[in-house]
Amino acid sequence: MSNQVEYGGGKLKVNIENEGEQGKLFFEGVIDEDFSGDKISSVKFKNYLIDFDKVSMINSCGIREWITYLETIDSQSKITYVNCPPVIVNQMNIVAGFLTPNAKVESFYAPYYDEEEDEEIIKLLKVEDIKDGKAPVLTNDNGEELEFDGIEKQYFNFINLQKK
Amino acid sequence: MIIAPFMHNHVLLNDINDYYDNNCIPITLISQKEIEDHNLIDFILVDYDFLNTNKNKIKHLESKTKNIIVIIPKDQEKGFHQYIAKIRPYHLIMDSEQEVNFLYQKLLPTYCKYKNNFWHHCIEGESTAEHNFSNSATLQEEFDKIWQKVELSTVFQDFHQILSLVANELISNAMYNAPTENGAAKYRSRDRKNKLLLTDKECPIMQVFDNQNSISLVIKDNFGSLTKEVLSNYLGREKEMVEHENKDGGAGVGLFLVMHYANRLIINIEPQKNTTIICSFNKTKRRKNFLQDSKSFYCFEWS
Repeated sequence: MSNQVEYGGGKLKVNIENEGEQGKLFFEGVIDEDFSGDKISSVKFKNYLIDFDKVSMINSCGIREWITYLETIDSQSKITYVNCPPVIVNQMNIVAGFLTPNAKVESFYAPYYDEEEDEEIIKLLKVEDIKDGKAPVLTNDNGEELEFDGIEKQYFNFINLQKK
Repeated sequence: MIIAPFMHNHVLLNDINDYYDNNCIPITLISQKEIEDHNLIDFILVDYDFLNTNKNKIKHLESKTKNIIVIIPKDQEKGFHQYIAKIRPYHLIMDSEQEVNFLYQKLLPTYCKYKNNFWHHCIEGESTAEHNFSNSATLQEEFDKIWQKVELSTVFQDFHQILSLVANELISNAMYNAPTENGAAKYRSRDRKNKLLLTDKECPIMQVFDNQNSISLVIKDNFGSLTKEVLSNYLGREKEMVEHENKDGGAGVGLFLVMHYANRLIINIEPQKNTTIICSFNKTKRRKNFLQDSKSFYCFEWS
């Protein structure tokens, strides 16, 4: 069973899939002041999987609304964030409250640079791919090594912030 | 224009004579008495070591000019917000060649020549877009149209999303926080879910200046209600992570995010008249370079 909720005239869409005890929430668009947990918190789940794959921006008011929404979720519920794009990872690293004790990031996108093609490539990583705060070594289609294009200590800081 | 550098073993002390033009008089090794003797010192350059060991002297200098430029070591960049929180300067720059060149070749000479209109001359490139924002409900659509006029082939993939975020924070602040009526804020405490339709006079304007090396967003309101205290409160958080505020109006972290992403922030306030915010970003395909590039913050408050 699934349903869709829209905010701000369609600039944010949330698709909610009910899979028994787990609710899967797919966010698409801009999370800003128009987002409100009220519209999606009426249906409660035991656990939540939140997919940020198609989020293009989250602004300061959106962060506040997000944190307010998290407060409506039972602290015993597990929240799993997946497919977090750089815009979400950056905010997790800067603004406190995104990663509550019951929330964990499972997968996220990381920027790499392909010197051969002179282009940025965004790769999906799992948290367990990060060993000792270092980005995993990845290669392009020609087997050339890609360079992680960020500051590892800064970008992977959210992993330290997650309650282990 | 008189520039008085107060620095310990700083490279700028050696370089200063190479940069000043005819309008600038650098006074090296200036004494307290010399400062007293001058009616006005336009800029005082101070390095962080000096600041740390001469706090009382700095307090005294502040009564002579608001334009004390604190120069902090490049390797302490992570503490940028902490410096703003701690010393609440009007001007804070990284000790990098790029910023030092900007300071001497652009900012100081144009400040001297053009006074409160100096900022026009500190921006490189042509104005590629200009837009008045009257409706807070349609900001994102309007930004998306503006970015189409900007050359973004030489930047990393989500550069335009960073521009959108920064523009969103600054324009929202200009729409909700700037307008005043009879001296009081008109919309500041309004929940931002309640959209605004502003009058022509209330509308902030954004210009975008685009060139090969950088993009600058220039946001201007017609009220001049922003103050250095507000800037210091929101830009300077001693913690590395910032917390949102549960208050009416904005979330209180927007300016912090702006400074996090911007390479240079210049704020020009004519109290009760207008505020202009110039926010510049270096163009690069390498996100790493973008993050490692120096930062600077300048606030000019004209009486």
